[in-house]
Amino acid sequence: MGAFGGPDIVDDGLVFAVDAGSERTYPRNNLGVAWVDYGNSLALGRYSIVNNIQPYSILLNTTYNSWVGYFGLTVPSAEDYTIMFDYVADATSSMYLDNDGVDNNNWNATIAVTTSVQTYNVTKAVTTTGAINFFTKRVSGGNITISNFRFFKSAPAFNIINNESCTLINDVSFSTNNGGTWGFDGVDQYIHGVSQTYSFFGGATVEQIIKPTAINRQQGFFNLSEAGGAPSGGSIYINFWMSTNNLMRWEVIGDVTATYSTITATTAVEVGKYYHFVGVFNGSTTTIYVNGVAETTQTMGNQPSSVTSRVEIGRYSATYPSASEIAVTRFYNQPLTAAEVLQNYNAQKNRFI
Amino acid sequence: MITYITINMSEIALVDFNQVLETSEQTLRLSVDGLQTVLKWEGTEPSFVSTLSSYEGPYTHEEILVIMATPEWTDPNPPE
Repeated sequence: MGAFGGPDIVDDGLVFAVDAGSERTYPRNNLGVAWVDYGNSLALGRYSIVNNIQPYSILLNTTYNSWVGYFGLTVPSAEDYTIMFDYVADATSSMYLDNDGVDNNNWNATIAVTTSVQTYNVTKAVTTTGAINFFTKRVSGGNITISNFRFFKSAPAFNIINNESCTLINDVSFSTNNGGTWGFDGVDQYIHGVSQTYSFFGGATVEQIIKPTAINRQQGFFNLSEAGGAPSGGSIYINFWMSTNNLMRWEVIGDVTATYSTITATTAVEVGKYYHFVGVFNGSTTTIYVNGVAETTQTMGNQPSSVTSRVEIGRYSATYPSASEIAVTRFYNQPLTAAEVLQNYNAQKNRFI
Repeated sequence: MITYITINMSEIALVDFNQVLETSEQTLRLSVDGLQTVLKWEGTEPSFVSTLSSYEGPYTHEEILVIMATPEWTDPNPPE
């Protein structure tokens, strides 16, 4: 196991790594929550418990319109937290959320409930530590089911290598599917890291695990570029981008004012399938791998030796956002060998098959 | 269900970013000519929408993806 701390991932030269399935990247440890009955409501049939262990599933009975119990927990530190739960009813309904304890009433909300499952997802600053209790009650309508209750620190994502924060822009979604993945809506969502200088030692490598959710469109997945960063004043580009032909393009340009070329994979992606993409440049050639296999290699001289910028995930400039789920992004300041690319692919492929 | 609309950037001052899913004015997706942007929300329509002099939509996610792929929103020329 490498120092990366996950499966057998190559860690030599790894300078940027985010994995939506890693608590080190995306802390989603749910605080311990206990469901507490109120007013002997369970015995009185005002609600029923479908699942009596965390994350719970509670059915609010249509015959009662007041408080039946609460989700109770202890806030360990004053910072931003997110409350999430799923809710659905067998008829158009309304429910109410009310918090007691820490920041009393700050989380209160009236929630419209339909026959389609929706997810309540609200983030607020919690100003002190201590007990906080989220009471629920049915207001009107039918039977209401509340499930998958979670309350967790609303931390940004982190680069595993140096713990620097990454920012999720425009409500990037998160799913626990495939061990954890971020969803990008193809409209305006992306993640960016902290701007810094990356110097390369004979080349570099970009690796991403991606599931397209829409194709036949221009979309970017990884971007690390610097305007005017080349010694001549030309811009530097390193990116994954896809045209309407659904073939991943791997682009490396050390100086946009000099002659350059880009290469394209030969596997046309399909919606709903995961792909492991790796782009490598090593000073003399550039190669794109798909699912551990080198698909295109080209001799290329115009390659950068460093770049000062921030990694962007899920877009290539604002004009080319990605419609996809992206679970993993890694950037190495050295070229991976074909054997190392295959090692990384094999290390995590079972998570995505 | 997330709802999308497109509005003119000339009315961006009317937008309450606490009521939409966009992070801030600085993170908006702009049309190729820079004159329009996209907003989205989940659930109830934000109150500021009724104060806009015009907007297009509402759209579903599938509908807005089609719009975003048009030349008005995505430069048809491949990027460098």
